[in-house]
Amino acid sequence: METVLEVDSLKTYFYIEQGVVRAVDGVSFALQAGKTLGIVGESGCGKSVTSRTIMRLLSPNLARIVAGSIKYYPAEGPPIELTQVDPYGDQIRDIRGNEIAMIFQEPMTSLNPVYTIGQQIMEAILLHQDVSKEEARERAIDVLRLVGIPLPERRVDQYPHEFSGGMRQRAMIAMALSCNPRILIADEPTTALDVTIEAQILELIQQIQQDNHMALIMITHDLNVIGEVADHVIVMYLGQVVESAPVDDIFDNPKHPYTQGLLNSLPMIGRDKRLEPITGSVPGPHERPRGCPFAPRCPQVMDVCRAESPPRFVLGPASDVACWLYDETIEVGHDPG
Amino acid sequence: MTPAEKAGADAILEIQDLRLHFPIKAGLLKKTVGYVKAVDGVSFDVYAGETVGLVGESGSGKTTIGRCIVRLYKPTTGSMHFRTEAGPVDIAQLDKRELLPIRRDIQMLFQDPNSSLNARIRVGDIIAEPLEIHAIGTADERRSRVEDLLEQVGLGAEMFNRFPHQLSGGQRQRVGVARALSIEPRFVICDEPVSALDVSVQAQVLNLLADLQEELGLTYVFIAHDLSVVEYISDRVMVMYLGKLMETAPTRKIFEKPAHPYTEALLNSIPKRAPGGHRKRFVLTGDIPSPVNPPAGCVFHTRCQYAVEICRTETPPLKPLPEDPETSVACHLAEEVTLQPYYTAEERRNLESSRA
Repeated sequence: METVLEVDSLKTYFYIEQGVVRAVDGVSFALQAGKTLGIVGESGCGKSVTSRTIMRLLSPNLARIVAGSIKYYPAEGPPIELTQVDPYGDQIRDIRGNEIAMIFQEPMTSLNPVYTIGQQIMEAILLHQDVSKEEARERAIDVLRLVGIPLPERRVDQYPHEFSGGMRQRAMIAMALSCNPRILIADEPTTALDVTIEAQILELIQQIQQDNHMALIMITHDLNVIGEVADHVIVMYLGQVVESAPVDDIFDNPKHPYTQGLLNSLPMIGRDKRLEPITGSVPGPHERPRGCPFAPRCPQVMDVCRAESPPRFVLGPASDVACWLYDETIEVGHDPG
Repeated sequence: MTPAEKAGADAILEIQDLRLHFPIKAGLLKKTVGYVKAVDGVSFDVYAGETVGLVGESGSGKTTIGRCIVRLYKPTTGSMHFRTEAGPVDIAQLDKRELLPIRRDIQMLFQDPNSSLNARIRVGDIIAEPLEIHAIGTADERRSRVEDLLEQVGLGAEMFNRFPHQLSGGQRQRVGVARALSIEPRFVICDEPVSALDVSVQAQVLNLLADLQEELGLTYVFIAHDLSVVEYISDRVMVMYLGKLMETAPTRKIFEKPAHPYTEALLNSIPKRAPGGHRKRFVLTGDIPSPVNPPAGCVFHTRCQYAVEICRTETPPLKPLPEDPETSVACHLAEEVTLQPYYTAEERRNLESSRA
C-alpha cells in the first residue's frame, strides 16, 4: 500500500480574544493512494479545521499548529513536512490545488460570482501547469465534460449564478480535479444538496477516484455517506480522534461510547426501534471538559474519565480507540462491548 | 396506528385540488409574465393522530403546501377542509379574522431555530406570545403554563429568562416546539424541524416529537428531505415532484414496494452502506425542471428511465392501485413496470433481527 499522507498527533489551536480554542487536539491518521478515509463528527469536532490545516489555509495570525506533523509523500522525492512550510510560500502553492485539492461545502459561497466558471478553473491550471491560455481553456472544457456538465463549450463561459446547486458543486469538483490531484479532500461536499443530486456527486467522486487512483478524505457528519464511500473511518469529538477503525468495524462493532451513541441516534431505514440519542449537546469551544472530552455525555463514564484524558488503546492492526474502558489495567464494572 | 385503523379514522384535513401559482412580474408596469406553479393540483387527506411525511427535492412544493395549510399563503384555487367542533371549515376561503380561531388548532414548527426565534425576546416570552395573541389565561396562568411547557420539552423552567443566543441549536428547536404547542393545537406542520441539527440532537428532537404526539394526540404533517428521518417518524409518506403528488403510501410500502419511478429514484439515491465494496446503482440524471415551465404530460418524464410516448403528452392522475388501494400513484405505467425497492421483504426481516 502506498501511503500518500501521514498525520501524527496534530494540534491546531486558535488564539482569540476570549482565550485558546483547541480546535484540533491530537489527530492522527494515514492515507493510502486509491483509498477513502472518512472523517465523521458533529459540529465543532474539528474535522474541517483538520483539513484546512493540511492545506495550510489557516491564517498563522489566528491559528497555530502547536504540535504534530503532516507528512506528504510526493510521487517523486523525499516526503514534505507540511507543518513546516511557509503557508504563503511557493512550496505549498505548488502542492495546494495541484497535488492536494479540496472541494468545499458550499458551492454558492466558494465560487467567485464575478468570474466565469471557465476563468476560475483556468486559474488553477495556469498556476500549476506550463500551458498556454488556449490549452488551459481546452482542459477546463474537458474537466467540465468529465464531471458531467452538458454543453461544456457553452457552460465554460457562464457565471456561477447561471448554474444550479448541483451544477455548481460539479464545477467545484471540476476545479479540484483540473490538475489531477493525488489527494482530494471533500469537506461535506453533498450537505447542501438534494438526495438525488447527492447520489450523482458521490457516484462521480468515486468514479474519478477509481480512474485516477486518487486518495480521498471524505469529511461529513452523515454516517450514511461514510458507510457508502469510506474504507477507513476516524470519529472525532471536540478536536480529538476517539476511534479509528475500518468502516465495517465502525458500523458492526463500534468500540467508543460516542461512536455507539452516534449509531443509535441515526434513523436507519428498516430498523423499527426507538432512537437512543446521546444526552446533552456538544459543549461550546470554551466549555471544554477536563479529562475525556466525551465524559459529561458518556453513559459509561468512570472516575478516571473525568480526571485524565485517555490515551489511544490499540485494538487491532488498523483500529484504536481513546477510551478508558479499553484499559486492561482498570477494573471495569460492566461489560464495555 | 396501523393503516387499517387509519382507514376507519376520520380525516381531520381534506385537501382538494390545491394550487398555488406565484405570479412573475417584470418590466416597468409589473406586468405578470408567467407563473411559478409551486403547488399544482394536489389532493390528499390527513387523519387524526397520524404523521404524514412529505418528501421531495427542493422546488417540489412541499414547504409551500405546509405554508398553505397554516395560511401563510393563500392558495390560488382549491379547498382545504379542516374538521372543527362546528363541522368542516374550508381554510382556503377564510379571511384574517376568521383564521384566528383555526390557528389555535393548526401550528407550525420551523426549520431553522436560529432564524425563527426573535433574538431580543426572552425564551419565556417567546413561548407565551401565542397565548397572549389568543388571550388565553391571566398573566400568572400564562407564566405557569410556559413553565410547564419548558419542562415538557425537556428544557426546565430555569430557561424562562434566557435569550435564544444562550441556548444550543437543539435547545432552540425545543423552544420552537414549546411555542408551537403552547396553545394546544391539534395539528402541527413540522417543516424540516431537525435538518439543521447534529445527529445526536436530531434524535432527541425526533423522540420528543413522537412522545408529544402520543401524549397529546397530535397530528403531524412532517416535511423533510431526509428519507431516513421520514421513515422513522411517519405512518404514511407522500412523494412530491414539481408541485404534484407522485405517490402516497404507508411508509413501509414506500420502501418495500415503491410504485412510482420517482420514488424508486429517490430510494436509490439514499446513501447506503454496501459491505464488501461499493454498490452499483442507477442515478437520476439532471436537475428538477423549472416550475415556471413544467414539462408537458407527466412532469417527471424528462428524467424517467421508463418514459414512453403517452408520458410526454398526457398527465397521469393520482389514483389508487387496483391490487393495493392503500397506495396511490400518478403514473401511466404503474401496473406495468417492476421497480427496485430499498429493501426486499426478506432483507427487512434480516435488518430487524440483526438490530434487535
